[in-house]
Amino acid sequence: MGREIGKRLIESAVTFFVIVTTIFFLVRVAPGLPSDQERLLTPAQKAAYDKQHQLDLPLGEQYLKFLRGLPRLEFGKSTENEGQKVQELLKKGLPVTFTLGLLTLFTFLAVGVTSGVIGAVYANTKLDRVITAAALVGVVIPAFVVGPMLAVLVLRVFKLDFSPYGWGTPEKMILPVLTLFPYYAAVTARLARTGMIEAFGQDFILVARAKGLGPWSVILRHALIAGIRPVISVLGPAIAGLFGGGSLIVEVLFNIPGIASYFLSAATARDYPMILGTGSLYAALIISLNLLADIAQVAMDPRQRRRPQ
Amino acid sequence: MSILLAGSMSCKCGDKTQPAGNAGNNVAQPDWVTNPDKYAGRVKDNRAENDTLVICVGNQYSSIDPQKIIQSWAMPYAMLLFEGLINLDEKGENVLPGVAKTWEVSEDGKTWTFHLRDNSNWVGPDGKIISQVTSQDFKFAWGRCLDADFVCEYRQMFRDTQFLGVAAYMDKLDAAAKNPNNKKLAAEAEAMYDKIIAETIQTPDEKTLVVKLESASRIFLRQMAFSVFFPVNKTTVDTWRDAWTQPEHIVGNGSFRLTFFDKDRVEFDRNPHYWWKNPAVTSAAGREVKRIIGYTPNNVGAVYDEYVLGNVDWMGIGCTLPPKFVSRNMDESGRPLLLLKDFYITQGGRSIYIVVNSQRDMFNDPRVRQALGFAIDRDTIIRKVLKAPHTAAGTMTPAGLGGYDAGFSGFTYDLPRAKQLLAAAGFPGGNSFPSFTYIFRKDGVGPIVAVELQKSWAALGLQVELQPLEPKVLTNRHLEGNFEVAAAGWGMDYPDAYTFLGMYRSDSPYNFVKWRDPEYDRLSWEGFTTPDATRRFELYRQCEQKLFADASYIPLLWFSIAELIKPTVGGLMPNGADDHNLRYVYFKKGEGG
Repeated sequence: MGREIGKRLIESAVTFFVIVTTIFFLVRVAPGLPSDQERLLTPAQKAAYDKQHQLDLPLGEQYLKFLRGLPRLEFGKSTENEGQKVQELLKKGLPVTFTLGLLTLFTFLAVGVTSGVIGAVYANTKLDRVITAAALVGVVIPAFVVGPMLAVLVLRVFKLDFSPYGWGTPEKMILPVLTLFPYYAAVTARLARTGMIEAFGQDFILVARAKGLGPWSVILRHALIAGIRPVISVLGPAIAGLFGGGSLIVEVLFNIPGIASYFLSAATARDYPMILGTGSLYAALIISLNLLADIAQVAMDPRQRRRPQ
Repeated sequence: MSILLAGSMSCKCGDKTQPAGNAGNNVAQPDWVTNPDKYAGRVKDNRAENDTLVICVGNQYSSIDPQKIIQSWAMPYAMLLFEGLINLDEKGENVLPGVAKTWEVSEDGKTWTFHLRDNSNWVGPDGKIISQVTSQDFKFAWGRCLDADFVCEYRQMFRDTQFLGVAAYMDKLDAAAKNPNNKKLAAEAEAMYDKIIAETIQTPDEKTLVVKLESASRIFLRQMAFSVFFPVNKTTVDTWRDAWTQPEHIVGNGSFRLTFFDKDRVEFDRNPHYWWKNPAVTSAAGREVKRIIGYTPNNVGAVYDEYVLGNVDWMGIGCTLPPKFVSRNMDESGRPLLLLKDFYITQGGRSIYIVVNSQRDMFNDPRVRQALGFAIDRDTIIRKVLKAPHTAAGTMTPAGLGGYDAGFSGFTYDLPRAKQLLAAAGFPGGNSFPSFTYIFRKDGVGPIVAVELQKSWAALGLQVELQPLEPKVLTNRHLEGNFEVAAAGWGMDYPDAYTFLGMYRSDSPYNFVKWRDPEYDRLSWEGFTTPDATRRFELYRQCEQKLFADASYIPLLWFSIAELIKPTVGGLMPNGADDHNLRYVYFKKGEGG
């Protein structure tokens, strides 16, 4: 198994390298320069701007600088946040985004897997149909609808004296997580349900029951491992979606000072250091989590391990 | 970005003393007249003890360094942290002493002498006094902005206020930048810089500052309140470089100090060493503001919810009411239906206009361009589509700016005339006129306006494609002249028509279509520099007529701003200026807390 992990590590490294290189060059191809401000810069000021932000260096040199700084997470200074190092800004925002993402992850896994298991165990009963319907709703309604809806509920319908916006106290985490988790919980529930039903039909379950083990023992200790395989297999893309898209929506909606909103503002502002910083960080995050998910999948099912030739 | 003159432009439509609607006795009053409190934002019960002002004026700024500020909504914060030679009063109208206690100007208007006070001090991050503010601090700050390697976006202000030698110096810098191999130009620029530092800005002693101008400037004194002219502390800047504005390093001389800075908000504490005392507080009419929190959100709608909850005291400048709120509460004549106690509408100085690229063959006939201008029903767009209290613009400068108005209505909605012009140019009914693309900003009102323009020009028989663009991409296209018809916007820098008219001179980078008229250049400059107001307005009017006849630049509308201010807050005038000085703010006593 060590060899498979090693192989996947190398693949991940190559993927990461390709991604950040693509970002580096693609962003410079996009029309619009960082110095294109509404209050126009004179030719002299533009020259000074480019010099200050090292945009006057040959492209190859800029690229090498970027690569050299990458291992130390040194991306230079943000052009939109005067004088502030990208590293510092990311340091401040990353814990926030990460916390929000992890909380959502645990929530949707807990809710989704539980619902899926219950749905499978009570398949084709009323309970199952309710869960399936809820899952459908969760998949269909996007986060940018759920979020404002929840805010309206809290502020206008229930008129609570509570501000769901901002970050810093535990209760401010509630609405953002509630906004994000339904979609992923719904996907997870459907996958878990299917996986569990399939697992129930397997021989080893028959054997376990024949051995006289109680139903819930069979479900939780034997079927579950096999049943949640489909969930694990999409965990990678799900995390990518969560951090890459979901957290952006929620951070903007609820004014949360994470790094996701930097992603968006940096792109519009052509803030190259910040684009590279957030891009590299996200790529690393998603690739790592994907890798972990892959490893978990392999570890959980001996049949999936690649055999040496 | 702008500095706006308050009085001549504001409409304090949310006057608290007059309920809206008619006061007729037998007519059923709308609910919001009889129960205004129901519609006012909540005021928290514990506000009696609260000494913290919570505001939102825009999202996070790029820089608070006075010589590096870009966003207009960073100005109130800059004015909290720093103080220049002079201040403006609450309404942004009159000049008051700042670091300069007194000043005088020579007979010919070319030499200004400022006498600095003894009690304006630099205060460090620990809240302790470091040293007094001196004339050298001003020289250092201004010198930074003029330095060739320093990116100071408002360097143009030094030129507009006619600092001696700056115009020639800036031209030399541009020449050097365009010819990087010509070292002589760079050396000449450097020599000119040294001369400016030595002779234009003089510091005979620590408390005296002398400024030399090319000629008398009407706007010079007032512009000294603008952030680019604020002093900075040399030691701090040299030590910490571009990290000097962080709360742990920053040194300022303003009414407040920066105590916290993060993506979502900034916080300030009162500076106890600031020399000026708020008469509203000393007279016990009001309670002092000890702390200020400025939200810098991405989602302005969220701030509105916070306002209603009672957590925010002021929403203004770049954090104004969501358009939906305003449009839901305006009737078709532009009158606000819902006059919350808190709700104010002020005429801002920010405009949208259209640029028709006269360099392109299809648009080289001015009659075609004029036709485009006359085909637009600005009033309908504003009242019925945008449903906002904006103002239709027929000429480039808004009426009343510095007492001037263009004297003619310019581009009105006149479809018959538009059709006639187009026909006279050889395209009756738009026949055989090629289709063209209109580019505009994809955010804000850009798309809505674009659709209306498309309809307006379709009425002439013209086919228009719409292309929404990101702001920087649009700017790039402007700069390169790579467009057929484009949207553009501008905000006043000072309360004089030249802030607009100057944009269309031959040497202006904002003259995107490179319209060249030496007569226009001569008239506009003469108007700007002449002290005789009557003559000036006459010259400006001639300029407007030229712009109107050429029609490469077609005015569209002037934005107004909808602000919310809690009734418990005093000293905050909704005057449409982007530079509210929050030192005047206090909490009123006895009103809800």
